[in-house]
Amino acid sequence: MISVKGIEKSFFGKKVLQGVSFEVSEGSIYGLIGKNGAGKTTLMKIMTGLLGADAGSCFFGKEECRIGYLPDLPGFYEYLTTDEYLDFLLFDKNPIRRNKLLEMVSLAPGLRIKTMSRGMRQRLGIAAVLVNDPQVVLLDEPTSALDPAGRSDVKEILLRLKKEGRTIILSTHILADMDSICDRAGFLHNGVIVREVDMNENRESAAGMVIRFASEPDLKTLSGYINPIYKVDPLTIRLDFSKENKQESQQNILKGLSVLPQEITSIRTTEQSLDQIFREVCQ
Amino acid sequence: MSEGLICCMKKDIRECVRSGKVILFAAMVAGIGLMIMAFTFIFSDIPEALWSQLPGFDIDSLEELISTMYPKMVRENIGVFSYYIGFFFSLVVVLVIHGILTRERDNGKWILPVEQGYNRMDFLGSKILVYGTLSGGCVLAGYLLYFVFACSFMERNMSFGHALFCGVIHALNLFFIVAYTLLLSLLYPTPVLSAVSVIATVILVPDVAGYFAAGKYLPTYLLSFVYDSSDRYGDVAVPLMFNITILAILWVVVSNREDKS
Repeated sequence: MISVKGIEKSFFGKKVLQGVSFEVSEGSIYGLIGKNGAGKTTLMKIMTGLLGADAGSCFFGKEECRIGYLPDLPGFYEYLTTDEYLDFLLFDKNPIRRNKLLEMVSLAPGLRIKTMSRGMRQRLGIAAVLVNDPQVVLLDEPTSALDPAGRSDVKEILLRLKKEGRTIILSTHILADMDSICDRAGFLHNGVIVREVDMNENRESAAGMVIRFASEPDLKTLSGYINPIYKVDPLTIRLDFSKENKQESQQNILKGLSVLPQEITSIRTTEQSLDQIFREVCQ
Repeated sequence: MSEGLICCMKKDIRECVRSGKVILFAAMVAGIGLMIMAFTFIFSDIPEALWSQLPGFDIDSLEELISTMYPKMVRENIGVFSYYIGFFFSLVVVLVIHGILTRERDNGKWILPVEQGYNRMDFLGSKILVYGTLSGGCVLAGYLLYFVFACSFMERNMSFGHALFCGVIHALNLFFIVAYTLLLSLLYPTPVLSAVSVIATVILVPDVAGYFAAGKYLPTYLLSFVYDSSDRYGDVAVPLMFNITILAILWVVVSNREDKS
């Protein structure tokens, strides 16, 4: 279990982190979400020891825990090739491990780094971070500035690393990526973690319903039972459950639907998206 | 030598070769050598040519001027070559290298290697050794080649041993210039300041210091020694020790600063 408690950090008198606390279970992927400038990179640098905190502590579960950190837009020696760069990080001692790392991230040896795309560089960065076989991997915006194919490749690698039992903490402002791979997410706002979401629970618990009718529904009658009603298209509406009283709002929806003469062709529930949570919490 | 330093040097050697710096430095030295050699022979014909066109022209003072600027004796001529190397070649070297360390640091290239156990001073030490040896090596090779060619076309008044000694001293000059530039680039707020201070020192101090008796003991005297193709070998001892001491002090200061950061 990684335990971060009360991390505080100021720059030139301005408090960036004001007591950040969260925990990450071993072998899981934790996502750190926040607006640009929220302090995600600062927090990660503090966790890796690159920056000192003004207060607070970070415990990685054991004394001798190997940590790998990949910064946002990592710098590489452009004139080296992929294998030469990993050999450099391995102190020229382990060509077998170098080949294994390249295979893990699907990169060929002999590629000049200068000619590589952003996606390939990000994969090389992940390989570089894995050189010392870390138990905990911290990734700062690993998928930003990548195209959809690049993001998919990186996400695949991260899920593979999770399967190997590594603990991963990644920061991002791309919520769709967070949604698809993280087990838990923490929203960093105003220097603290304002909300944590268990992604698996969030996916299971419904936030509303999307209902499709065979013909245009009588929304005036329905609005007597539930408000607001969001029109997705002429035949489809979306209804959100009340946060305060979910059960009551579900009952009202069913009552309203039962008095409508129009035939219902499909009903499905929707979970509260990270986007909705982000807007609620961080703005 | 630490493992980290050796690996950094291999990396930097690759960088020097693949980025074309080896070719640039070698070409510069060769270019300067060809230029001095060409000027020596072209300019030495000018007074005679002028006299044939303008019979009343006073060629004696012009001949004297040209023989001072581009003498036709090996020892004096190679001194001119050394001066141009000290002026132009070191200017180019400083301009090429002054920002390489700070650019690497600021672009985050050190983060991943430091995570794996590299020391920041490995990066500095490697750059000094590789670029210092590259520039010094080009100068030594250029100096000796120039000596060989000059002996074929000019009056020889310098032994090979003397040329070798001066060549090694001039190579050391470039080594020290590279080392100071890189060390100061990590100390000053911007690497441009380090370039300016090194270039100003190399260009101005040897000439100014020549007017003072104590100038012989300054670190920059090694440049004046080579420009004059001096054979007073003992005179290099104090400036050499001075340079080594200043380098050691700068190394310790930079090392402490990097440790703190």
